[in-house]
Amino acid sequence: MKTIVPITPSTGGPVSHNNIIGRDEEIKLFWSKLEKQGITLFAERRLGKSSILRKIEADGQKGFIPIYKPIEGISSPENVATVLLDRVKEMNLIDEGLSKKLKNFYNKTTEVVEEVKGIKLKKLEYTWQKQLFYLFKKLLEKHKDKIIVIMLDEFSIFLDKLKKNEASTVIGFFRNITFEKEFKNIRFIYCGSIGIDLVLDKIKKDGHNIGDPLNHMFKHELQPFTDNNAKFFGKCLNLGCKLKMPDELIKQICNRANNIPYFIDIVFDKISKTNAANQKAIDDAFEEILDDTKGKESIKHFYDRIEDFYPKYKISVYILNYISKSTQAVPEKEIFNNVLTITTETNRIVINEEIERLRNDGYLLRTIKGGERIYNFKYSILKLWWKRNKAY
Amino acid sequence: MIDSLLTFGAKSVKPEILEQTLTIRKETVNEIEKNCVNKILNSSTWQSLIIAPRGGGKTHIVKVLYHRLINDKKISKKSVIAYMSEDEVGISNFTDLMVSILRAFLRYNEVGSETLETQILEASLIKDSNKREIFVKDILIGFASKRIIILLIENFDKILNYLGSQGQGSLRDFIYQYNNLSIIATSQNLIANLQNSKNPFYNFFNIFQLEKLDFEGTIMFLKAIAKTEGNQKLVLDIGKQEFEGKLRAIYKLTEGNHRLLVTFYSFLKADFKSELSGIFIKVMNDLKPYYEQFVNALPAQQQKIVKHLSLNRGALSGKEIARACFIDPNVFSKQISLLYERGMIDKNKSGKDVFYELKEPLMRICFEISENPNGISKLFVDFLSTYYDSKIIRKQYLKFRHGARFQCEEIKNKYENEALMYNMALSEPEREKISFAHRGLDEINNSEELSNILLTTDAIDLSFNNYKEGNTFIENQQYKKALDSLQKANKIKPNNDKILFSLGVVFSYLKEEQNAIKCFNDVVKINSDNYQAYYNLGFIFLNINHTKEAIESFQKAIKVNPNNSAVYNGLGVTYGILGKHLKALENFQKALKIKPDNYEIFHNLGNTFVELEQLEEAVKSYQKAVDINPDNDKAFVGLGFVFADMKQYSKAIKSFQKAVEISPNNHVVFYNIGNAFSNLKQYNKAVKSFEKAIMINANYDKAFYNMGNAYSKLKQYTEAIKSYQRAIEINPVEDNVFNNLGIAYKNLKRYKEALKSYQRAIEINPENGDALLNLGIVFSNLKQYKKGITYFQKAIEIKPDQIIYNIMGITYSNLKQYKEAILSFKKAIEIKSDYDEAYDNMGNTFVQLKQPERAIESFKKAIEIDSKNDRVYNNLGLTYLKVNKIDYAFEIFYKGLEISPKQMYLTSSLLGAYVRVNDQNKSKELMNNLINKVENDLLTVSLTEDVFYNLFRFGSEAFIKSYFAFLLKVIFKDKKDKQLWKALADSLFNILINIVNYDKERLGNIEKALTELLAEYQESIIPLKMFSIGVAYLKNKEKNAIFKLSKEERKLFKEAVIDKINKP
Repeated sequence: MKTIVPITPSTGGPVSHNNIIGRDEEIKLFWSKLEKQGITLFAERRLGKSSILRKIEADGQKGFIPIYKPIEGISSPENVATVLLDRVKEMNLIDEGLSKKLKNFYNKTTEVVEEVKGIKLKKLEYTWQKQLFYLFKKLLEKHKDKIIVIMLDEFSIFLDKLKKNEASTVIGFFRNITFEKEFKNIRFIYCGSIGIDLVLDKIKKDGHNIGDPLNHMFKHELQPFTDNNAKFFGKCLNLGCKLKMPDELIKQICNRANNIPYFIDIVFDKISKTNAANQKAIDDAFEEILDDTKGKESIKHFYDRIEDFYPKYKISVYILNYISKSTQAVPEKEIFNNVLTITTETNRIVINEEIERLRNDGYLLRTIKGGERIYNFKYSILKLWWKRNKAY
Repeated sequence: MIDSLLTFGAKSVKPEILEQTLTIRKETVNEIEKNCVNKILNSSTWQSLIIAPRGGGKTHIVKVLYHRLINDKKISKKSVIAYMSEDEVGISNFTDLMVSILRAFLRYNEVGSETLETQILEASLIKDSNKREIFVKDILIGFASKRIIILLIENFDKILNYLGSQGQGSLRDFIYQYNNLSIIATSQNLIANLQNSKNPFYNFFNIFQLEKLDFEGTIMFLKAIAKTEGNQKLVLDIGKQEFEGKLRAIYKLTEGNHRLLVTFYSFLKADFKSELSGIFIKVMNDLKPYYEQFVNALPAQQQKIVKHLSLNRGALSGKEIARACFIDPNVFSKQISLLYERGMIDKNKSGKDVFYELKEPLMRICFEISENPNGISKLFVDFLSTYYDSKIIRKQYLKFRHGARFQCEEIKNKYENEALMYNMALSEPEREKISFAHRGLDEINNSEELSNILLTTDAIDLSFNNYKEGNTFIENQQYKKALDSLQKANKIKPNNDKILFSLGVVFSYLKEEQNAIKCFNDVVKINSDNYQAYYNLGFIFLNINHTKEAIESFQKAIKVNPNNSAVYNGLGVTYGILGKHLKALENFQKALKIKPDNYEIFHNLGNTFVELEQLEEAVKSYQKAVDINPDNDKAFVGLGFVFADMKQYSKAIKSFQKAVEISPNNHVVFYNIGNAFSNLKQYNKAVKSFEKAIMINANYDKAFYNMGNAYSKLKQYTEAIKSYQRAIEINPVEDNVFNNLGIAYKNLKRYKEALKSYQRAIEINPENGDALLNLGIVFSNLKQYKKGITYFQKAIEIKPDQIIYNIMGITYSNLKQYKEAILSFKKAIEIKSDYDEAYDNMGNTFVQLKQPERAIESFKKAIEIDSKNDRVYNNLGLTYLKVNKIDYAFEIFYKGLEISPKQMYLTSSLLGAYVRVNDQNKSKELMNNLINKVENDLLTVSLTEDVFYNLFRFGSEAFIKSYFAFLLKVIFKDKKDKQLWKALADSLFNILINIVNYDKERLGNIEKALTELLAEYQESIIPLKMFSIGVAYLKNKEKNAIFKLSKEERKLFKEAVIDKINKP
């Protein structure tokens, strides 16, 4: 039985790793996967991806050296090499001597370096490749029999910022590294809130043949908490906020928030300000979330995402509009028919593609009923919000 | 450190003062502090963003937080505070931000910060930016060590902009990597960056939106400021109700903006004797550049929008603004969004429309001062009108307005300016009060007296309020209450012409004319230019029939104001009453010259023309009145009367009907419609109209009377009688009604009632000629001829009339006073020389006088006058027969029949003539014609009277037999035998009465013929028996013959024959 610890709501900033709860199963799974392969971790914003990675780094695991590095602010592959070196040094993964050596190497690689003490770098075109190559090599040497896990947070945003050829090179390089025998103990975790698939699609559309650079990785879409974990989380918040809320109400919050930790956190945050641990306070808190059209409560970004990234976002919006207005799951045929009545500038194939995209991105859930595909929103809270604020 | 709040520079103010003046923001500060400290204690971080518009108190709060956190021993070892400058400059990337943080440590002498400067210098020598960044980051991490960095940073939106997405990403990476940075940031609005999920700080912060202070919050804040200054008096004053006006004025201007409240706080301390406008102007001038800098930084389109919002108060719709600024809607949409993001405007959605307004109310001073010709004054006036209550503003105004004349030239200008400002701040009701009081103040001679009076302006208020109340009561027609209020006002402020005027009006309404006159006279004593008072006097005098005084008053009014049409109208009315219609006309025309569209004057003009009997002009005037005001029912009535006078009854009816469309309850009009219909002989419609009049006014006797007349015309005498009786019930002294009632009775042959009615009419009015005549007629009808004659004579005394003479003549004839009859007929003819009826009657009388030649003369005269009078032909013909001028008789009868071929008495007279000449064939032919053409009742009557006379007088035995045989055949066929037996009896009695004219042979022939013919008829036995016995008794002088009759037969014989023979 887990001990309930007091946690206070934390909104958007990073959570202290001690307060990261409810992801034990995922972390356990990751460690097991990391034995053999890297991981692509994706989920919507606010679901706790960064928290998991930070917890992995903080807690560690025997036989692994996790290195957490957010790279949203990194603008070039060169910088990746630099910051990784820096991080490695910060974590004292290398001693002073090695640190200097690596620094020297980094400095040298500005020139054309073909080989460094037996390490052939010819095939590497770019300086940063050489730098990273060398860094990984030295790390592995230093930490033999350990698996180095490099967790790149907001990797997809980083890639998206790069020029497409650069991005293509980066993703290719990392992939190749993992296939090198001598780097068999290097693992990568790519973590991102915008779908990496979308970014890779863009790269491909730009004419770069990158194949499927992630096919060697374990793809994991982070889900909301399980019921138990959500409830546990709620209890911890309850304790931390000193609300003395009964279990049924905590359960209700978790249900209505679809066990998404971020929303559970927000609701407790709102309730703790009123100090009233009752049904009305809960209802009011959810009303605020559902009434948000300015993005204050984070839910709006589900819409913004589609607008910003989806190639056929209007179709996606029509689909979601239609489903949001139905109290039940909607058969695919009906979706087609509805969208086709709204616009003639599409066809069933396109609609189908968008449905799939929405499904892959965690907007929609699909079930099969009587041989027919039927769809509903994955998250009821999103459905309610969509219906209230967007559907027409 | 400064001991009081500053408009700009909360950072420099002592922390205690900042704490004391937190007021309603305290809760927010406490929460931020609590969360931040709790997180630090748990080695965690907490991010917050405080949002408030410019001047909203963000710096104040941040400063308070700094002091609290820096002095919080619980976290002193676990945290380090970087208190950034309010306007950080020179941050272009993440490295710059970190350096600024490090410098902030240096500025506030954070523990361990001594070496930072050196380290920063070292970093500055690194050329590679990435390396430099890492280096600086290491310094920062090194400095913080395991402590949480509390970053207090203002205008965070700008910082993020400077950082760009790259720098923001780096900052976020730093926060996530080290989780040792708690940011307490401020911003003027919700940063767009934070709302976009693509951005690194999406939903990163706990948002605290600082609302503008509401009015209560403002009071608390100002009180707190006063407390910090130790200004206890002001603290107490702020709590008082009298102070509320000032607070409201300040609140209105500042709209709860912190910075502005601090600025305007000084107003509260100002003594109201001082020149407030000067202070105000100075403050505005100081603030203007502050706002201008923001406006000047905007692009042109946005400047236009801000300017438009500034110059137009309140929220405006997007469409309106775009249109007014000549900005394309698409462009406008973008620009307004940018302005919103800048925090310069607020937006409010209402349905589909969005309304925008300036976030900072005083932004408008940038434009108002330069755009407004009065410069700052509009703002100041608005401020004043809320700052002071109305009494103070009034006092101030009066003080400066009336006090100016006691000042030297230099100060006089200032006073006048101040007076101007305060005047503009006056509300309309206050202006009214002042005009109420002005007269008295103009007469003040020195400033001391003025001051004394100003102290008692409450009296003005009270008096004015009573005066206003009184006027309101007048409007609501509550005159007694009005009187009460006005008298109170008068008591407080006697000799006020306005009060006296209103009093005069009330007295007029209450019909206390003398009091009203007194009041208006007093008014003109005070103000001899008050023409309205003269005018009112005029009307009052008119109402009490003092026409001379009325005219004088109106003339005085004209002297003061010769351009008032109402006065000329009044004069016109007065002259009209005096019967001086030409003068009245003159004045109405003058009135119309001034006000040519005044329907009332046209109406009065119409009335005057009627008096002047210029009916056409009257029509024009009334028409004009109704053209101008189609709802003027009185004018329609006037028109109706005029048309009726002109005997244009259809037009009269139309006009009256228009009048009742407007005023449906006017019984008089319906009555007149009825009269008009009667004149048009449309009696049914007339009756309906009278009925309507009666429905409205059940006691309208005239309507009943005229309705009776209409019924009479329709020969519905029973209905007529009912109507007359109703009229009598209402008004029992109207002789004509009784007269007409009598006529109706007479027409129904109810002579007794007719008599009563006429007698009543005469009782009421002994000179009612019609009643006298009618009475005479009834008596005549009742065969009381002497009485009849008496009344005819009375009628003649009143009004000699040919009809009366004629009827009297007939009556004399009935009395067999033929000479008198002839005289009467002659009198009738004297009056009316072509009175054919009189000639006819005279002729008949001459026949009775056995003066057939004279009779023939009279009948001929009658025919001369009226050649179509067939009755006269008959009379003449019969007279010719009497004088044996048979041929003339035939000629005349045939002439008569030419005129009236169906006239039966002419035919029967002609038959008689043929019988007279024993022309059986012609007789039978005529009889057959008669049978076919004439009604059977008349047939039998006419046949027996004249025909039998001629038959028995002149017919041969054979003729008599033949004639009777034919007659019997006709009569029995039509079953008129009863009439025959009666006629037979009558004619036999006639013979007996005039037996001297029959010889024995004739009598024998008659008896023989009749006996032979009628023997089988039972009904003939007694008449024949009586005839036979009569002949024996009268002709043969057989005295005992009469005893062959039974007793009853003898009685009958006596009555029918003997008495008539013996009658003188």
